[in-house]
Order: sequence, then structure tokens, then C-alpha cells
Amino acid sequence: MSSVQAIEYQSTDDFLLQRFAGQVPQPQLLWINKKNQQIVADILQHKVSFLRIRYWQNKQQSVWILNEIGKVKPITTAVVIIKQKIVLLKVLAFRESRGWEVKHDFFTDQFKQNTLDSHLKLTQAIDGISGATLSVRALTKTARLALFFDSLVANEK
Amino acid sequence: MKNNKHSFWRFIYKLHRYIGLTSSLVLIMLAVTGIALNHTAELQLDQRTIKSTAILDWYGIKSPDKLRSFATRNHWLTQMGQKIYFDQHFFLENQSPLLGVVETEQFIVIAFYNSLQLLTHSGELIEKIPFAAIEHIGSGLQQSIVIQSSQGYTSSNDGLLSWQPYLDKPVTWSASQATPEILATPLQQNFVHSILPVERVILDLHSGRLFGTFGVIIVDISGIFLLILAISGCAIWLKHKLRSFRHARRTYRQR
Repeated sequence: MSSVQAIEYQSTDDFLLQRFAGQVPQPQLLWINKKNQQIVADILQHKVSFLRIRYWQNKQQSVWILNEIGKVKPITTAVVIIKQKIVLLKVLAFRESRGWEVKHDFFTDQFKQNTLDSHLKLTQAIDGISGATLSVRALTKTARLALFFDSLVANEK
Repeated sequence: MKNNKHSFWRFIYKLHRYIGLTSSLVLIMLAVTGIALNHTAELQLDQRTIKSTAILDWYGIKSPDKLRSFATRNHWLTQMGQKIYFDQHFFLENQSPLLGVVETEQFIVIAFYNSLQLLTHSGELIEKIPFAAIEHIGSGLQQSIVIQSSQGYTSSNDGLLSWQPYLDKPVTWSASQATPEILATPLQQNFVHSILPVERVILDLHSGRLFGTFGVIIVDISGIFLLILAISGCAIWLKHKLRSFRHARRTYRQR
């Protein structure tokens, strides 16, 4: 499986339908101001250009579909958060040629019940996978980013 | 026997000297480019680009003749190759063709085959929205954004949050226009000046590929010369070491 490229494991629409049991709420928007853009840049370790991000939320959970580059291509990941804790992190599309091992449950399960500490780091350490360092790093950043965005939404309310 | 040994070492000395002289230029070039490549990030070699016309010509880099431009009230969006420019400023890279641009009171929407990009009026990216198989983009009733895709006609008038079918209503489709000369010339210059990273040229210089097969052969021969230099250098050093050891032993015995 050395030449895995542009594989979509599940479409965003399918994931949302499954997660919200067919009742997908209207997407909502979180606007990222200058101050928060700097925090996002610190988490991702690179500048971000977008000004808003969409998410799906009902009373129980919020779902964030985020893209972050592993080595050269974006990994599309869905993060489901309930009460500021990750309950599910799933790789929806992987486009890199290496590091695809991060899609497996044995790896993504480590993110469950993870939350952010005061330094915006994950409270539980994530064990890496040799040969997939950049993909592991991208997913860890994605998890931190989703939790940060969720905390912004919680603070707005 | 002694003469044979003497001429062998003379040969080794000469070999070491002349091979050293012959390959010195290439070895200096290899050392300098090697050190530079080791510090690509610090020297920003992957971000800095070549602007020299001679080097760009050597690589055969030319600006594409075909520019695809769309006008808003105050701005131009132009695609050249995979690069998209907002007026004269490089904005983003996208592999699929720019299909159209629509401006509303709140924002500008640009359409590619597989995504929509929402911009502020000053060209800041607000959001990138995946969208399947777009064919055309236009503006409909009440400043709605209308998309013609493989799914049919859909429209949105809430900032691309939700989409509804859009049937039998008027649409003004976005259409490309001829790029004004005042914009095209600097864009084409900007394009060629942003294509070739310094790192690429240094890599090609390091491997000899900058000069084609001839350059690669020269670098290969220099590599072999370096091996000979290392071996002959070690042999000469060993010879001197043994001689001085023997000399020291003889002096010690004579005492």
C-alpha cells in the first residue's frame, strides 16, 4: 500500500449523516479574529489565511471537519466533541503517499477523551507511529485546533 | 627493485597532485553547493526564486500566453498556469481552471471545478468550500450565488451556508474577459520570476544536471577523482608515518 494517494474513506456528507443519524443540522460559522488567528497559527505552526470555519452542532455534540497538511497534501479529518472532550477523531481523506497508518482506530482511539490544558496542548500524550511522524503531527494539531474552536464556540454562548 | 618502488611512489605523488588540481574547481563547487543545500531552510533557498533572465532562459521557462481573467467592480482575478492573482498580487495556487467570479455586497466568490472560495472585497480568503463538479457560476435574484454543476442548478443567499435548487429564474453567468495590457505585462513578469526556486538551481548545480548529461558525467568523474585522492592521500600519509617510525627506531638503536 505504498502508493496510497487521494483516498477518501468517507465523504463529509456521509460522515455527518451518520453522526447526526440522518438529521444533519445547518452548518454554523465561527469567525476567527486576528487574536485567535495568531493562536491558530501557533497550534498549526504555520500561518492561516481563512477568516471563518464552519461546524455542525446539535445539543449533544459539535463536529469539525478540518484539513491539515501532513507532508505536502491535506489530510481531511472529522473531530466530534462533546463537553469539550473528543469522543471521535476520524480520518475522512488521506492524500499523502506515506503515513496512512494514522487512519486506523488503534491510533485515532488515543484522541478519545482528550481535552486541552491551559497551554492549549492535549492532556493525554499521543504515541507516534514510526514512518508516519508528519501525519501523526498533523492529526495532533487538528485535534488541538478542533478543541480550541469548540472552546471559542462554548465561550461565545 | 628499489627503482621500481621509487617510480611507483613518484607516480602516486603526481597522481595525487594532478588529480587534486584537475578536480579542485568541481570539488569547491560541490562543497559550496552541498553546504548551501544543508541549510536550505535557514537560507530560504526553497522560498527565494531566480529572477535572472539568462538562467530562466537556460531552463526554458516562459510565461504562459494564455491568461484567464474575470473582473469585479474594482478588481481583476486572473489565472496564469496554476497561479491565481488578485489584481497584481499572487493569491493562491489551484490545479483546476478558474471558472468564474461573482461579487455581492458582502464578498467575492470565485469558482473552480471542485471548490468555491469566498473572499473579502480586499482579497482576503474567508473560506474555501469543497463543491463537486462546478461548470458555471453566476448571480441570480436578490444577489444569490448560482452554481451550475453536475447536480443541476443550485443557489445560496446566506454566504454559501446552504443551497437550494434554482430553477427557471434569471442568471447572469460570469464570463472571462480579455486581460488589460496594463495588468497582463507585470503579471507575466511576476509569473516567470516566481517559478524557479534557488534550491532547484543549486541542486542541479550540485548534481551537474544544470549542464545536462555532460555535467552529470563531470560530477561523476570528480567523485571518482575524490576517491583516488582519498586513497592516494592515505597511502602517502602512511608511507611518511612508516618512514618516520623507522627513522626513530634506527636513531634509538644507534644510541
